[in-house]
Amino acid sequence: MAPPDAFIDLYERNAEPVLLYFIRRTFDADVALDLTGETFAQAWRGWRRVRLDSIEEVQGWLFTIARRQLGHYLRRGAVERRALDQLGLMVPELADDEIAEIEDAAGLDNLRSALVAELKKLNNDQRRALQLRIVEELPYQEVARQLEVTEPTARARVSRALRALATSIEPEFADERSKS
Amino acid sequence: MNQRFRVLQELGDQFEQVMATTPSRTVHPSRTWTRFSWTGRKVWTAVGALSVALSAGIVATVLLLSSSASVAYADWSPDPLPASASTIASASTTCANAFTGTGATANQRAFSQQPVLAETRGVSTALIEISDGDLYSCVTGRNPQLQSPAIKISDYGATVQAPGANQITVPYGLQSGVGGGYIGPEVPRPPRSASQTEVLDYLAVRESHGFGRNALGQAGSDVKAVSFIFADGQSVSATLQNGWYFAWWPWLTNPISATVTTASATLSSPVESQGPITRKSIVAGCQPDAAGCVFANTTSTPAATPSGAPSRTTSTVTNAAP
Repeated sequence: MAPPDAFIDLYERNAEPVLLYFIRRTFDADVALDLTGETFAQAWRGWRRVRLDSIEEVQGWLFTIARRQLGHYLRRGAVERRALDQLGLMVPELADDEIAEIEDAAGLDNLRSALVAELKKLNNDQRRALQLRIVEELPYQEVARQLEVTEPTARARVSRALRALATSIEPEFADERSKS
Repeated sequence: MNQRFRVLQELGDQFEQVMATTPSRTVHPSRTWTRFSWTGRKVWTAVGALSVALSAGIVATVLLLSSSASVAYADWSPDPLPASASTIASASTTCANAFTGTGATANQRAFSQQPVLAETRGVSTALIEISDGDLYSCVTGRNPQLQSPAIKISDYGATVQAPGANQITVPYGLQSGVGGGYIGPEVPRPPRSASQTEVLDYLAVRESHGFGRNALGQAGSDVKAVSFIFADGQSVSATLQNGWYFAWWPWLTNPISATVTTASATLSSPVESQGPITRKSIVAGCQPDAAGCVFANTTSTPAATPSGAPSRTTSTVTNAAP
């Protein structure tokens, strides 16, 4: 078993990169934080099987889990929380100023600009969903109201649209999608 | 834990606490009581059934001061009192039935006998038992839902030696870092979220992620008193019985020093944090067995096994029988 202390070290080194990885792909700080929590919760569950041959290998293993979580989210429009729930972890709530700070760290404004140019590639429903949620930054409740769909449907529409645009948003995302 | 974003810091703190209660190979609560094979005598501690008064009325009596360690607790005392026979009997019943998973029978057997150490602090009663060479501890209180996890100190690596006549061992519950000394519910509970006052918030977090630590070890034959000093000046006295000492406190930081009193002197030695989880793992701040050091030559080794195989550690306890 890898020593428990090393897991904390892994968290300290990678929590922020994992969070930024997620937010750049979901455009949603709350979702990104949930995905970060679930990723590390799943990592802890599997920690006993980890070999600490190199930091790079362990980080690769961690991001494999992260990619899997992202793939699940993009397919389902919902964050898997199984490991979080099993461990009884509560993902802290983000304040508005913290969301802004994290989005700034992730360079989300630039990504949003790039996204606008890609919207035309989507069908009407997806384009409208992304426009409302990502570009206009409306809460899902409002997105759902304007789209005249349920909130889960709005979430699913946004996540699928993001998936459709994944390769445009970030080239390396194509690999992640194929792996997820 | 040092994170730029508060939410990541808080999430990391939760992971630290979860690691203390649910090592990755015992994530499922039903596996918590898996026993271990050691090359020496089997020693493991089951810290059971702690319930510290966290009901609403008691919560209201809690006074928050400037830091987590600077809290006045209405139902906890830094100075223990002896437990009466009836109190021990009641606590033994609670502790014996506190666990239902693997190891429940051994647990019942352990707490069916006379403890080697018993104390009360406010509403809580602590029992230390030795049974079949295994070490059990249990702290009971008011709220039966706040059961502690099974703490298997030696799972994290420890080599314990008998202390010198005027020394104590480094607390088993704290020397090994993750898992050691933790007191709290077996499964962290979600914080209450609705209508929380600041005090309720504070205690909800504590309730969710553990709300105390303990120091348990052996004391030499000349030792008359043991106490632990914290950074804010708080002193917590240990109970000393039958060659064992035990103390617990309802916060999650480690002491900065230990004081040992013998018939002829009072000595104090620093304790130091080690490892990335600096709040959890302590070692003797002095060179063990050096002149004036209160700590016996006790070592702690990490339970790392690069092969990925579960670790097996050596742990022996001497001076164990009352």
